[in-house]
Amino acid sequence: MNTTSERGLLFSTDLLLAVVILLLTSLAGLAFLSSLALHSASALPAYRLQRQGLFFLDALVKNDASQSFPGLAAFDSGLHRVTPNFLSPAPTAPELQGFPLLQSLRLVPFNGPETQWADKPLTGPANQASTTCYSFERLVLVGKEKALLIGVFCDG
Amino acid sequence: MDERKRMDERGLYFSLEALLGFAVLVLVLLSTKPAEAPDLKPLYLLQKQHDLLVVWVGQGIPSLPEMESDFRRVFPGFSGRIGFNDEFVAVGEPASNAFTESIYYAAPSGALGRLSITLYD
Repeated sequence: MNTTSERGLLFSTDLLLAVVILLLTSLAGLAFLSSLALHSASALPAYRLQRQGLFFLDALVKNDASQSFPGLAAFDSGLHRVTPNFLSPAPTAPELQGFPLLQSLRLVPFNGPETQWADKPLTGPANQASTTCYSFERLVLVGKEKALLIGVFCDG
Repeated sequence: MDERKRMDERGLYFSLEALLGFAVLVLVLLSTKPAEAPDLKPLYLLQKQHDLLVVWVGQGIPSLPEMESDFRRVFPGFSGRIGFNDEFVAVGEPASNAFTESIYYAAPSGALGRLSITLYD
């Protein structure tokens, strides 16, 4: 009788320890996963901003104005196709409504005056120092003149 | 009494073993680096390299000094290397991390030409 009681007590202590260790292990795993998720979540807005900026400028240099998406590339009627990176000598301003992250868009020829198509004030919080902005450039040929298409994208 | 002692010892051994296992697990978790934040910079550099090559071929192959000047304008602060068939122009000092993009084109003579841009980051 005495031996049985002792065994039961020993078993319970052992089990309690095992459960505590299991809980601590689970807690450590969950804490690790939580920190991983928070780290990824904090990097996501910057990634989205970069992605939108890169792909928007890429679309601008590859699409022409006849597409549903804004485009600046020229259409070569001889080749019957849009010519990516080649703009007409006098490109018209693209339709920029519906792209709230686009802060400014400029075409800066290597030799010549620049053209500004968009330049809006920051609409974010009063402390605009916290606003994140990314600037991207693409090289294009405007007629026979090389130029940089520069887009600035901000999250505020 | 002897049996009780033996059982106590076994229980203690098990707990120590579990605690050691737990400690190892914590160490493994702590030593695991979180995944790198996604970075689109390599794609951006690749797009600009592609731009340069397409523009050079499209406007007619410029001279090597003009290519170097264009390179410096599109990639300020970067060093690299421009290849035109078997000729190469170094821009700045080489580094270990290099991205190379190349394009083949048909010259007016009908010969196949190759342009390449290597970017050191």
